[in-house]
Amino acid sequence: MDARALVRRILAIPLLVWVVATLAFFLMRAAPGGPFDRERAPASREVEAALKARYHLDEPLGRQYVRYLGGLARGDLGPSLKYRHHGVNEILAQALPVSMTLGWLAFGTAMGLGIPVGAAGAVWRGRWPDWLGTVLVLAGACIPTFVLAPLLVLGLSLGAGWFPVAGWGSPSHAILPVMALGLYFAARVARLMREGLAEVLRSPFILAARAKGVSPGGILWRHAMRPALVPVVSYAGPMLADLLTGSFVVERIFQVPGTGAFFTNSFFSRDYTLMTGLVVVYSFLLLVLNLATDLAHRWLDPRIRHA
Amino acid sequence: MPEVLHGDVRMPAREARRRFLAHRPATLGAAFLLLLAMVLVLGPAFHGIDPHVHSNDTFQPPSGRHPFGTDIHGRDVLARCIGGARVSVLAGLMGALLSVVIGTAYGLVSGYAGGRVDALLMRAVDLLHALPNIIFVMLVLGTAEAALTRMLREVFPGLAGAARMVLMVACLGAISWLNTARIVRGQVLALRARPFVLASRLAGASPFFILSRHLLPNVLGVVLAYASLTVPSVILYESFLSFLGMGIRPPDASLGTLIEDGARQLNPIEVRWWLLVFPGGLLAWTLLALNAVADGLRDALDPPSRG
Amino acid sequence: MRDAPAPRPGAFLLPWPDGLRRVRGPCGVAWRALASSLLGVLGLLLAACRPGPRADLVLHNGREPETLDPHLLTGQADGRVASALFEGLTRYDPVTGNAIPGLAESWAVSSDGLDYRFNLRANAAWSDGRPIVADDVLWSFRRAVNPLTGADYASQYFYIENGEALCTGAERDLARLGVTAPTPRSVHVRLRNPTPFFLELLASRVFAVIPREPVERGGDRWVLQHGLPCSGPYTLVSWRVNDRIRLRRNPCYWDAANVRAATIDVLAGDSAHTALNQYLAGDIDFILDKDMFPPELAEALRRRPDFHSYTYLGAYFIRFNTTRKPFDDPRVRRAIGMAIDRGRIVSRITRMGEPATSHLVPAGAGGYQPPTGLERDPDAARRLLSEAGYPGGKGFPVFEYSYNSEARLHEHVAVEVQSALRDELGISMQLRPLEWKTYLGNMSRLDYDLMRSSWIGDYNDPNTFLDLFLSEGGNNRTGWRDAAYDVLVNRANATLDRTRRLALLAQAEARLLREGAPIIPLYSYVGFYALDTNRVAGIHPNLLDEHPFWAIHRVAPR
Repeated sequence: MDARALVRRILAIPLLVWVVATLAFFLMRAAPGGPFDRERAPASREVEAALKARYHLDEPLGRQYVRYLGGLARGDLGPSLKYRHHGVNEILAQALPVSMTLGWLAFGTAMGLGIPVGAAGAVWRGRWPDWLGTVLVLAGACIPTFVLAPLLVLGLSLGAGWFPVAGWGSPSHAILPVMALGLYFAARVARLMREGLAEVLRSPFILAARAKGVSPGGILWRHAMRPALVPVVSYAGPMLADLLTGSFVVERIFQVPGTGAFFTNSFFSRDYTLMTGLVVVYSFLLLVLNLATDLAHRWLDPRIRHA
Repeated sequence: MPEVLHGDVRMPAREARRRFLAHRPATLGAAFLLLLAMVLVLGPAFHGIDPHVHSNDTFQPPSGRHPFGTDIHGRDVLARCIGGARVSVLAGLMGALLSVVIGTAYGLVSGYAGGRVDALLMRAVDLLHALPNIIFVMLVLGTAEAALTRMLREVFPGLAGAARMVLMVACLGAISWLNTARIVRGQVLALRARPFVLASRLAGASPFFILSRHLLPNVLGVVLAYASLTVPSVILYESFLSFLGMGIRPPDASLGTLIEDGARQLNPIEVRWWLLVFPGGLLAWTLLALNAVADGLRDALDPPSRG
Repeated sequence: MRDAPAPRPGAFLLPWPDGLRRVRGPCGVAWRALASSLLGVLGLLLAACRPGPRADLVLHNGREPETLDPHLLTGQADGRVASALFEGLTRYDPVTGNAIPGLAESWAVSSDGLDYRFNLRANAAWSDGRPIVADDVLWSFRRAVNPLTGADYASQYFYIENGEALCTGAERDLARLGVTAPTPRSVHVRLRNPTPFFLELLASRVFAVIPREPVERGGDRWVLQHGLPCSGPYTLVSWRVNDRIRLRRNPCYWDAANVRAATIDVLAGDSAHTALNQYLAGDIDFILDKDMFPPELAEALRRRPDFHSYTYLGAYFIRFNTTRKPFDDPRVRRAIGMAIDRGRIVSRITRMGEPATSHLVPAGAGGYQPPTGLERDPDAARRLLSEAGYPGGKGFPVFEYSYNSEARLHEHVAVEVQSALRDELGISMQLRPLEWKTYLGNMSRLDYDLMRSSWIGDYNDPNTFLDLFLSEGGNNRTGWRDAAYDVLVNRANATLDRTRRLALLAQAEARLLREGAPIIPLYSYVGFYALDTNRVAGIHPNLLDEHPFWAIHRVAPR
């Protein structure tokens, strides 16, 4: 990617965020029910109308949209419709750092566990390290987080008493959520790494290197590792975006005050502004990380040219 | 696999079959899958208990009469697992197939075309990825379901229930192809600069020929590896759709909803383990078998020694 | 965030460098969060296991409150915290749940039951020391009833003269509300009808007294202002969304001497299993919210000495859409009602010891004796169904039972109902799980056949349930209109004599259940709290499920 293409990619980010925000804005409103539908009917039509008017929900959709864009341009994501005292900016400022801390740690775990396990599987294909890795991968893939997390709590907190049951605030609080979150992604990373490396080890240039008499370790580290990481890196972008914005299940079970719960709950409560705000932040992260992924591709495999 | 390294000349199909049969995990897996398929096809006839019959024997541990125990309504868990596995295996395989087909085709085209086409296609993937699944699913739920069900009810009343299944699988497939596309595209970017692709292009091969004969076989390993993890994630994601009212409709169950129900038993007070262990074990074994078969198949068709 | 009581991103997180702070906008939020999370990882690794100072009481309050504005809130979790911050003329007795003197130390009621004169306490004061006077009460009441405030519970003001006219906009002058301040220390309220439960209404959140100046200045964020003057036993120290709210004792509260815990941490969370684990691990002292108990553990928990169950004013029932065929025929509705096995539902499904009731109003509400509704009688049900034209269920159209899908309990009940109707009546009912807002939307638009419903009483009187099904009631949502029922309820509410009034209400309920049957009651709710009585005291079972924080205290050190 030359410098011009890079600049184009960067300039496209705000544009794409705007498109996603627009889609989210209108699709949210197409969903049945509204933020102020409750089990109890409002005291009077006037009360209901006043509530809607306060959040400009009585205006035509076009004007609401223009109003929202105006806020967005000023960096104001608006008031939350559910958490009535809090602005969306404020909620995100409180919750995002928490989710992101958890996300980075889980990302480190997923990569740190997945890459060696996957590489071992490819190098010793069909031998015991491969089978051990396969078992780990399958465990990560088919033990859902909502089973793994309570198992960890039962075993390591209530049982052994090593870690707090739930909550957030000290390193020991982070360990179980990171394990629960990391294993799922580690399984995917290991799988992609195993296939990626196996594919590379089969290719002619490795044969050539072997014929030249390069040692197996040298082949692995000097020649095979970098191109083998291409599929892992392709996956790492969206994976990191998902991790940084929080997991619904893990944050719920460990009562971590992050953004994970808001993704689902703001939809359920038709909190239009909070949902759209989350979408804006998420799409921004995703676009930046995918750009980083594409740059990493080129570094990993110089034959890749994006032109 | 030293035993397949002999360079003897045999018929490719027979050779492949021999290699597959020599792959012990694969043959065991295939046997298990065959057995499972038989049980699922025979369904209730195999076990003889209607999964919808309630009884006063609620929460009974496994016994001769109910080998997998009973649930809160006194229903037979084995019968429910059989019914659930039918739904889940079908949904998982179809969803994964859909995601592989769409994702691979999309990734191949995007990576091979490169340049502006690639940028455009990949930004579209980013956009779809950035929009929360939940909004997408809700949209399908809000628009297509009622219409499709009504249509089917008028035309084939017997298939009105299938409308849900079709939509469910469509949703699951549509959500999960994005990462496949991204991974395939990353691989293709690396592959298309390789000499054999260049040679083929210079020899005047059509893009379709290059995509299908040169690139597709080379990305298949990674695609299958990722798809083998898509199956469980689709199966488990279905339980989230059920939570939205979009998945399987009670009183029917899927493995995902059964496992989610079972996960509620993970508590320090009273554990009715059979509600989690049996559906969870069934899922794990099925996936292990699928995985072994996929591994064996790939080794048989594309042995690791061939450079 | 200038006024907010310091919502820091986490005790162990480092503050953002100033340069990063300058990045504005939503992407700025993301950048800053990204940066501070990286610092956070570092901080997390460096920081020692440093538990912050624990509050005197740590309780789990269920879901995160949406608002602490006592006039706007609708949720139980919101109400529990708001009650600690703001008080009205009366407050709830922690033992019985009845109304006892709050900011008013005494009152006199006229013989016709229409005029109430309240005397404010001389020592009633805001937490900043200023006295609470009659004008504060007047202003608060007028704010709540003003439709522009948007208070869903403003309907509780309809019992006061001109309350309804003001709330519906028929009358614009807020001074016409039947509340006046003859002196700075007395408040006079004139009612529209004699209302025997009026003193209890006054203890509810929508009649709480809130500080005028901060509310007018603070906009939507008024509750979060630093040093907010509170009228209740506690003040707000901090609020981290989805984590915890910290309260501190209000030293100027008129009864501060009897406020037992100096600080309280109110935890919020969605997961019942997590709440239970935290309780068992000793991280929280008690759990107050009924939804925070895993229903599948109900039986096991009830056997433990530290789990307490009690009945309260809540009813679980099924609504019929009486505007749709064949449910426009009361015989069909009655047949369905008589086919359902409530006993099995409470003994096998809910299992918290709920009383299976064929009546809507839970027993004991304000001394009321509810009538029996339609008891289970499958033979009579089959007869009724064939009278309605569906012998043996033949020709009965396929219909749907809608319920909100987020709680598994509703699905279990639905599956039981489905099986009973299939086995007893031979009719086929499909289940339709709906996500919450769709469920609510379908209910208010009458877009359903049968729908799972529930109602929690607002005050200790049968009227809180029976006025739902008045023909013009906004919460009717069945399409059922019955002039005779309206007459009975309205006549009862205009009757001063208590026995006679309750008899009329019972007559109305009997008509609702047996003649019209737009609903099928299934059971009354059971409340639940977890608390080791050797360690914490001051929580008592009562019909209104009210447990004021000021009475709760620990009896033994941790």
